[in-house]
Amino acid sequence: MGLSELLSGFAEVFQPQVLLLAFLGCLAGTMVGVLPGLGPVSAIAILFPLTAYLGPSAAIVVLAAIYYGAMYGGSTSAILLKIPGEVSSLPAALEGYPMTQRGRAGQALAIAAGASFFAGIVGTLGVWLIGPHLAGFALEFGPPEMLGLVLFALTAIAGLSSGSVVRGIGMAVAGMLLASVGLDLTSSQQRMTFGSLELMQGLDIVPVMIGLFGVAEVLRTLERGTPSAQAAKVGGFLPTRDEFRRSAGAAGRGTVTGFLLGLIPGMLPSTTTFLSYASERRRAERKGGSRFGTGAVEGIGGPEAANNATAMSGFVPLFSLGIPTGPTMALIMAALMVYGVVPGPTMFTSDADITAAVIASFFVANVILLVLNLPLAGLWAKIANVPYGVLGPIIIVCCGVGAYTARNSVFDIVVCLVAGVAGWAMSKRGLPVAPFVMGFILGPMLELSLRQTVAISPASLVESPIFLCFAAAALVSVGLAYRLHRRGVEKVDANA
Amino acid sequence: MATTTRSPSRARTLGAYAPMLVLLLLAGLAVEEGLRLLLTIDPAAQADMAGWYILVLGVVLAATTAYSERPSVTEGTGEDAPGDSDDAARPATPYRDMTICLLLVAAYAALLATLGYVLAGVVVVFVFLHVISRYGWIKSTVYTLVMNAVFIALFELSGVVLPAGILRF
Repeated sequence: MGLSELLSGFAEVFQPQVLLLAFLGCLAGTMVGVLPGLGPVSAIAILFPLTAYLGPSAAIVVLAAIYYGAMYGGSTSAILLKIPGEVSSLPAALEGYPMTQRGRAGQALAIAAGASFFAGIVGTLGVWLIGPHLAGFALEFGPPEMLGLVLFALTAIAGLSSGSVVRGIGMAVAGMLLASVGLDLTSSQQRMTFGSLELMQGLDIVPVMIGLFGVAEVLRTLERGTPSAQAAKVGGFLPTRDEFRRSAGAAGRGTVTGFLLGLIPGMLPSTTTFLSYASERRRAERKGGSRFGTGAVEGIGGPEAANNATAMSGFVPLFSLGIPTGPTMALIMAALMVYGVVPGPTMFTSDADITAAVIASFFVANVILLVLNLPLAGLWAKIANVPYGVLGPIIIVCCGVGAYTARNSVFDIVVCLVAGVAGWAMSKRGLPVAPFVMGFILGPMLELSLRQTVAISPASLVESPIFLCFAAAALVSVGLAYRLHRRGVEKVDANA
Repeated sequence: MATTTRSPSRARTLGAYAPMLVLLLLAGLAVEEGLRLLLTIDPAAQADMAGWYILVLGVVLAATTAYSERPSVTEGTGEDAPGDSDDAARPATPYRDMTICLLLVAAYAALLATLGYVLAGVVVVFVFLHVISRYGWIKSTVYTLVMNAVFIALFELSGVVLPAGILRF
C-alpha cells in the first residue's frame, strides 16, 4: 500500500459523515473506557451493535475510534480518581494519582495523552509500513505454513498470557472444542450438537465475546462493588521542561518496545505496559533519586506509550496474516467478519481501499482524542463517578442487543448469558480468558489448515521450512513460558 | 450445629472442584463425540478427520485439566480485577443481585422475541434499577423512560433492526 492509497483513505475519512462517526466513536469509547473495569475490549463488545448496520469502512472507523477512545479513557479515570479502567491503566493510577493529589492532575493527563498520541501515530505508521510487506510474505503461505502460524500463535498466547503453560493450553483447547460445535463443513456431520437445532449452526464469536467481557464484567462489579472517589481539580496542562524531557524519553522507549513486543501473539497491552513500567522504574533507581510511587512522569509516559504502541502493532498480524494477538484483536476480527471483511493478506490487496481508510482513521482518531481528552477531562471524571446502578442496565441491554444482532437469533442471547457466567467463573478461579478466546477464534483455522495439509500430503509439513520455523518458535515459546513460570513459583517459595 | 459448619465447607469444596469438573465434562463429551464420529458414521461420509480432531482435543483437555486444575494446584489463583480494593463499597447481597442480573438477561431473550425490544428493554431496565440498584419507584420509572427513549433513538438512528413484537404497527 503506497502513499496514494493512504491519501485516498484520508479522503474517505475526511468526509463529514465519516468524521462525525469517528468523533462519536471516540466520544463513546472514552465514555465507556473511563468506567471502572471496562477496557477497550468491553467497550467494543458493548458498543458493537451500534456499528453493525453501518457500511464496512464506516463501521471499522467507528470501531477503531471506540478502541482508541476506551484506551485514552482508562488512563483519565486512573489519574484523576485512582480507578484504572483496566489492568494496563494501573501504572497511570500508581504514578498519576500522586500527581493529582499534589494538584498536578492536568500535567499528568497531558503527559499520558501526549505519550499515547505519539505511540499511536508511530504505531499507525508501523502498521502502514510493515503490514503490506508481511501480507506479501503471507500470500506465499499454503496450508502447512498456515498450520504452523496458528500453532505458534496459540502456544505463544497460551504460554505468555497465563501464569501456567499447561493451564493456558487447556483453556485454548476448551475454546477450540466449543468452536467446533455445529456442522462439520467437510462431512456435514453434526458435532457436539446433541440433537439441538440451535447448536447445529454453531456458536458465534460475537455473543461469546460479549458474554465473556460484557456480562461477566457486570457480574464481577455486582459482586465486588465499585470504588467511590471524588474527582480532583484538573488545573493547568503544561508540564515543566524537566517533566517533558523525562516523559518524552520514556515514551520513546515505551513506543519502541511496545510496538515490537506487540507483534508477538500473546503479548497483550497489559503485559507490555508493566514491562515498560518495571524497566523505567529500574532505570530510575539505577540513576538514583527515583520518584516512583510518588508521581514519576516516566511511570506515566513509558507505560502509556507501550500500551498504545502494543495495541497498534496488534493490527499488523491481524491485517496481514489474519491472526489476532489477543482478545481485543479477536473481537475486532469477529466484527470485521460481520462487516464482510476477512482479515488476512487480501486486506492489503483486494480490500486495500477499506484498509487505507482504517489506517487513516487511526491517525484521525489519535488527533481527535488528543483534542477531545484534555479539555473534557473534568467531564470524564464525572462520568466515571456515575453510579453503577445506572450503568448496569444500560450495559445489560447493549449486551443483549449486541448478541442478538450478530445473527438475529434469540439463542445467541442465551449463549451470551452462559458465556457471561463462564467469564465470571474463569476470573473467579484464575482461569486465563485470553487463551480460551484465541482457541475459539483460531480453532477453525487450525482445523481447516490441518485437514488441507493432510489432504495434500502430511509429508508437506517437514518439507516446508516456514512450518518448521513456526513449529520451533512454538516449542521455544512453550519452553520459555514454562521457565518463566517456574522462576516465578521459585521466587514466591523463596519469599515464603 | 454440625450441619451449619459442614454446609459452607461442603460448598467450598464443591466450588474448588467445579472448574475441574466442568472442563472434564467438556473433555468427556468431546471424546464421546469423537468416538461416535469415528466408529458409527459410514466411512464414505469422510467424518473420520472431524472425529479425530475433537477426540484428540478432548484427550488433551482431560490431561491438562487433570494436571493443572486440581484444587491443591489452583488454590489462591483467582485474579483481582483492577479497581478491586478496600475502598470499593462491598454490596450487601452480591449473589442475589448477580442471580437477578442473569435472570434479567434470560428474560430479555424471552421478551425480545415476544413483546419486542421496547418492552423487553423497559422491563429489564426497570427491574434492574428497582431491585438490584434499589432505587425508588419514581426514580426507577423516570430513569427507565429516559434510558429506553435513548435506546430507541440510538437503535433507530444506527439502523439496528430488532423485533418490534406487539408494538409492531
